[in-house]
Amino acid sequence: MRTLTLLTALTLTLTQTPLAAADSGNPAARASGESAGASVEATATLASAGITVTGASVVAVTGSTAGVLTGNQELVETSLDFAAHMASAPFGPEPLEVTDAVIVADEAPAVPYTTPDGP
Amino acid sequence: MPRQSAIALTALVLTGFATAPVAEAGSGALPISPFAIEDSADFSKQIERELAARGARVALVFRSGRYREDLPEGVRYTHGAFWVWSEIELEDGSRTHGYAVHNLYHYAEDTRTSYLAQDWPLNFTRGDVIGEVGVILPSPEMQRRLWMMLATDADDALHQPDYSLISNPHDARYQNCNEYLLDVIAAATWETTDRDQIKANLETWFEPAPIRAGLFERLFGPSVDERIRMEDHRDAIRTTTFQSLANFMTQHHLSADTYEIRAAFLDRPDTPDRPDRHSPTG
Repeated sequence: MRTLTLLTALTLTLTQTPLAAADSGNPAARASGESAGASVEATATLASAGITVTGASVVAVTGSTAGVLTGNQELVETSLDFAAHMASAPFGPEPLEVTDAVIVADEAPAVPYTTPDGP
Repeated sequence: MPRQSAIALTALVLTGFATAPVAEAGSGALPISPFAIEDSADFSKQIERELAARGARVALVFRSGRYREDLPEGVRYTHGAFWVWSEIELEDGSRTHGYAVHNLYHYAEDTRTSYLAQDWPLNFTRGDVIGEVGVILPSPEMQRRLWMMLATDADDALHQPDYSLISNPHDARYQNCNEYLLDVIAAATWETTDRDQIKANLETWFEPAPIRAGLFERLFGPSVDERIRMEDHRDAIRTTTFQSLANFMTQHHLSADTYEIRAAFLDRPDTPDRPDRHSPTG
């Protein structure tokens, strides 16, 4: 019994010991059906609170720095085009615009739920 | 108590704690924020506006999926990600601007394996339980380099899918969300995606944060949480944190500012001092 108490106490101590320093879990990662439902519910809740909600996707940028890194000439050219575009972007303290809408992932999670080797 | 019962109870305690629904951004089935989703949405938009007001095209933002008293000394946040000002296409086909969030997550079931995923500010704040985030604003030149890497998925080359909650940033065997940020920062700094070269450089220039753990935690930590892996640590456990990244970037003039943003909704009179950590979400 004493052993049990000790083990339990040690376990409690361990579980309350904050070893977790970086926690990369995705709170939205769950079965797709469940998450689609949750997404719809979230959207409805926000909309009913008067918050503008929308689905969206990031507009892809053409070109790839991979070209610079791999030496692929075709990719290098598009990369250079892209680099030139980026070089003209005003990276500085000037304020930027952001949409007022709250973006809700329409197919949350937009990430795989199963493991790479899973079904 | 019979021996078998004792073992069963002990196993139950271990299992129970390993899967207990404490507030953390782990493998839970639902978003963990104890705050109303409207508050999380407001907070996500507050962060976006504050970043935009500073002209941030790329920022490192950190949240905590655990209450501060549950974190090791000196650790304030549990998850970090790149927030990238992006052109986005809305459902109606119109284009606008906002922040896309680039993360390293571990899988919900196979928690020792990670993947890279882009989601949105609301996903980020739904994993926050304290109503505060940390921000590192890179220098304009670093923002330019990071934006190029992230916009073109060049950061894929830096991803190490073998995940450890307390990965050692000087060792290439494992990676967690914060180490992914560090590796991308290092790649942009030294303009290489050779991870071995990056690790060699970080060994010289980056000082990780020590995590205090006794012999018991070292021995049994992996039994309680399989995300804890010790093979990449030698004498001390050291890992990447918000503060160690901020120190590194400040020391080497890679950042323009480091600060924290407190959720405005916390200052409303009706917000409880500390929400019930087990309250339902959404």
